[in-house]
Amino acid sequence: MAGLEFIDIHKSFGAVHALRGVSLSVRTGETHALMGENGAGKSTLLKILAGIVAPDSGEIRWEDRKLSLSGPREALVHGIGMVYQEMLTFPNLTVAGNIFAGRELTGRGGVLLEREMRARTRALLDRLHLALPPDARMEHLSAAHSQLVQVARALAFECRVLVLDEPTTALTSAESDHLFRVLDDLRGRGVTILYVSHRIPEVFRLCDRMTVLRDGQYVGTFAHDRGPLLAARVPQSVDLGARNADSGPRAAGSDGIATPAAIVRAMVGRDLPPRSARALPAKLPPVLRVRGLTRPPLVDGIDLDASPGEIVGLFGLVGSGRSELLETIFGLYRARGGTIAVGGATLAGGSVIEATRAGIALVPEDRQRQALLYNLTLRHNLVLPRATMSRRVIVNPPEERAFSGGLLSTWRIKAAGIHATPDSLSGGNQQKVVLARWLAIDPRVFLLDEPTKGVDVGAKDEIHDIIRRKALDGAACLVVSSDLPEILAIAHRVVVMREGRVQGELPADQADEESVMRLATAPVRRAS
Amino acid sequence: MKRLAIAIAAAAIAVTLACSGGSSSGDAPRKYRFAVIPKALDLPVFDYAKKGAERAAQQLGNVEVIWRGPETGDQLKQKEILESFITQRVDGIAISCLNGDFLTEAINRAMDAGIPVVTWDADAPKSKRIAFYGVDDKAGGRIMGEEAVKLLNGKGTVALMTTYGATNLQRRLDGVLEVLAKHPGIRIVETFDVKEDTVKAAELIATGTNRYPDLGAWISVGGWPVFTRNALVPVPKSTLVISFDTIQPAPQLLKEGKVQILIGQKYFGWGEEPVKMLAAIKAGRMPSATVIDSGVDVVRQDNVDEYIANFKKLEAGQ
Amino acid sequence: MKRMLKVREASTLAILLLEIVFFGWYLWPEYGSYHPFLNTSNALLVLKYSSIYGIAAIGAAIVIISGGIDLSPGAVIALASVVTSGLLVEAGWGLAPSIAAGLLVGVVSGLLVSVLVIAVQLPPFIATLGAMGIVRGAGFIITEGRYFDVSRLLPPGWRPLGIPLDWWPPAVMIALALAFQAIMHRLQWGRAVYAVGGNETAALFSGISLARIKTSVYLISAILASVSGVVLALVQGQGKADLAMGYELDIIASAVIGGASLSGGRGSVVGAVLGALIFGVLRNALAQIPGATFYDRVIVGVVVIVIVVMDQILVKRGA
Repeated sequence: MAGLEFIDIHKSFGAVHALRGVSLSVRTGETHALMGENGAGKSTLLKILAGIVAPDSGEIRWEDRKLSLSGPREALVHGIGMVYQEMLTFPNLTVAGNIFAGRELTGRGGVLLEREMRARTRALLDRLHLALPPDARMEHLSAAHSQLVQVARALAFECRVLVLDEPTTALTSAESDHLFRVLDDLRGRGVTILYVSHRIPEVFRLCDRMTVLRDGQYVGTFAHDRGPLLAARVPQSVDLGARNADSGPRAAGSDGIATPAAIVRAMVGRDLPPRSARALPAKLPPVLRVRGLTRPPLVDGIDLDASPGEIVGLFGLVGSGRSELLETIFGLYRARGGTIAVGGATLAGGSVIEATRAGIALVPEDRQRQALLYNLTLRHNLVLPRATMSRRVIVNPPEERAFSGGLLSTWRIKAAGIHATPDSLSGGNQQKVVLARWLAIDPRVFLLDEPTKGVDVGAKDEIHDIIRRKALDGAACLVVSSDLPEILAIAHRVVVMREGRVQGELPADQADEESVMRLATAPVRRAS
Repeated sequence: MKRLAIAIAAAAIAVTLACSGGSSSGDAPRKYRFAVIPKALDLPVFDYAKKGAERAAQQLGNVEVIWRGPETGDQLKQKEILESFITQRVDGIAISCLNGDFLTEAINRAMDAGIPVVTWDADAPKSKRIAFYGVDDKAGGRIMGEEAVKLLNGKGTVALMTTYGATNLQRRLDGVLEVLAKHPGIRIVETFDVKEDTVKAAELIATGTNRYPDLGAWISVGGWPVFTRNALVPVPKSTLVISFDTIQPAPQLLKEGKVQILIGQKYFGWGEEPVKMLAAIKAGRMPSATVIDSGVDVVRQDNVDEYIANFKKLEAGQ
Repeated sequence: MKRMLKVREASTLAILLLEIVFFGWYLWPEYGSYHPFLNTSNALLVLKYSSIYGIAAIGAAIVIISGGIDLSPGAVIALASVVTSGLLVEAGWGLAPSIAAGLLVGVVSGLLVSVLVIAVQLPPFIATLGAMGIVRGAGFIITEGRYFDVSRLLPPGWRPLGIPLDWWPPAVMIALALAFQAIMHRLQWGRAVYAVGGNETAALFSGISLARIKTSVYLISAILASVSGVVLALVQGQGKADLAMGYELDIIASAVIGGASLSGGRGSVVGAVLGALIFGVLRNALAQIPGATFYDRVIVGVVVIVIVVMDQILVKRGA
């Protein structure tokens, strides 16, 4: 009965203990969800299954045989097909080329069997109800189509287990639906599916059982009580109120019955804090005024105000232009039209130095790529924005040491010291380093893009506290997050974007998952 | 800092070893150490010079030859090598100068430091070097010019090949030009700079052949066209080829009719004579003249077999 | 960071000392008291020739730290030597304006590379490869294969500012190395160079102007190469278009064995100079070993690989 089993898997990356003895089993032929918040260890577990990362200890078994996975090719040989969250495709190759990349069909003398590959590609695409020519170039496909080509690639070779890592991140709801239909179809053909996501509605739409991980540990597996496949009960939205109401003993460890509330509690590991401090004490005149800001394609005539002390949540699906809006305000790009004013003074725009000197700070979405310098110590990382915006030419090492040491203790960053490098820190502490260095310039307008992405729950709370404190200090905070509960938990006001436009805004007391999602997915209002 | 300490400790041990190593081998009979410096290591002619030098050392018995040159014709590296032999205080230096003027000051410094210097193949005439052994380049050039005039019957077009910047090549070129200037029927179409690069020479020959399809003759003051079998492939039968240097495959090319005249130098002598000269200087016998003309071998269709046979004998060490 | 760098430079220095000790032992004279390798004039010789590479390697290290690469220094050295010596010899210019014109070669070449990298968005490898060809070619156009003999213009035993001529290249190299070491660690600019090389996007998000940093980095590299060329022309007494042919790779290798990482963000200018000295000692000592001449390149290649592998092991263990 046991199809795919993970047995006591441990894995550490430096100081970060990503998996601490995770065991779970996926039955042959079922669709099994692997759930957890960012940083719970889902992706690491998948990388181990794909043979990309070797576990420190533990083993993986498939139909009672131990798998020794020394590389991605090994996983394929065992019939495990992976669809990664990041689009791992070759934009310069055709669809057929992508499907057969690295495993090209060859005839005698290594000659490529182009015709054969095209034919098999067409058959695969048909199976996925995809009307794509096998010769189309990957770079010309939409996000959804490339995602489905990845599914096709996984299925191309005797695939018995299909693993999907957050496949809907970049998809619209219609596109997601298509993917779900394909997956239902595959399940009907006996393919075992491991579906990784933290999106509760889609998991309930698709899966037979759900396993929840938290902080690298197994929390529990829940059976989804559902009828025949096509009549699956699809919760349209999750009742968040239930989280607080249902706070009995944990159902972890045993196969309980899956309810959204039980899953959320298992994922978060505690009851969410009450949605407090919602109303602003007094609305002051805005410190940030954005008018008609335009930078095609993803910033299209944005009007936005933020007052001192206010936390504005910016929500939208991927591709709605949230990050691009923040980055344009921060001066990373020159806008094509519109104005940005801080404290009444209009910025020339297009200059980060100017923006920081005006008091704007941006904590970017991807701290590894966009924020931290792994070749330099924490001291240099912490003083960087302050040093860049100042006009000082010469470095003052004793002052910097005192300053950066002060930041480490002020923000309770767990690190070996200011001479440590960022890679020795956990994700949460790395994120706090990024926050701390921008707080050090004492911003009047604090822009945060996914501030809690990939951090553990404890750090998440601390980061929320930091944002609230900064707001109480009188900064205007703009928080972008894909994590709607997070936005609802901290924002005084929620601004919803879609396709580069503001779709509408909701004060905290009127905002809930349903109302926000409705705005985020509603057709774009075109200016008259 | 800890690693530094370890390194210093290791260094100390090595010094101790060095001292013991030094004292144990102190009684060996004194041999003269002569540095022989070619223009470059990547030119085949210098292999024969090396053989000649080593043979001379063997015959003399009390001489050790250090053969060292820049990998390519890099004059700065050659000067560095020359200067490093001065600080080493070798017993004598024999050098083929890439650029005589450039090396003059360093050669003088060696002489002032009591290290006898002789030049071979390519001279540094302005320096204090004791003697030069090699071909009289201008005379060699004149021979090439005369042979060309003879074969062309005094009229036709000529393309020249050289590498700019080397004194000896310039003198050969001057010799060629001197002769050709006397014959108004002969017109020089172009002078190609091969930059001491045989591959580049092949490319230039191909280009030149395209540009001047009815060219009368190629005259190359260095052996670049005949160092490889392929360089002359594009040259039509109607074009004569006259080149310096007679290292294989050059004589073979001549036998096949791809080349008409080759001017051979005393390659083995380049190594042999300077080493013998240095040994004689050490024994107190100065050379008879400051410029010792080695003479040239003019190889034509009629004497090529004899030349090859002779060369093989020298190569075998006879 | 500083502590780590100090250790890094110390390990490069240790390798250099070990190398000297090894050759000191290996070349211990069989007779007489004169050591052919361990003597002051030989030390000066090593320093003098290593300076040609070392001065340019300072710039190469800075470019590599910023995440780029510069293939043009060899060509810039040659052209600067040609311009300075040509103006002295042929145009009869004075010493100071001739030197200034030689350095201008670096400025122009550096600006050319900057424009190609920043405005045209060429990868640095391609931009500097192109600049290398253009600059080298300019030298040949000017000289037409001749060379300019400066030595006959300079008084024999010339001691500019009272310093013997042969001491000038090492003096310039050491002074520049110390100056740039301080700049890299004590100026915001140096810090920004490390930041750009470590993570270009993060540097951009921190408000660092990539264009400004990159322009200055390529400019400095080319100017340092032109300093090397001018020094070369005056000390060696000659300017020639085919000087320093292929030296760019030795220069890059010096920076790399001095700790510069080709993926950017790591490296040291003092380390680069020490790297150039490691090569200089190797060239000098191998010249004294009969029969070694054909093995040089192999030995140099092996040394580069061994040192870089050792470095990687140390970095990994340090992490």
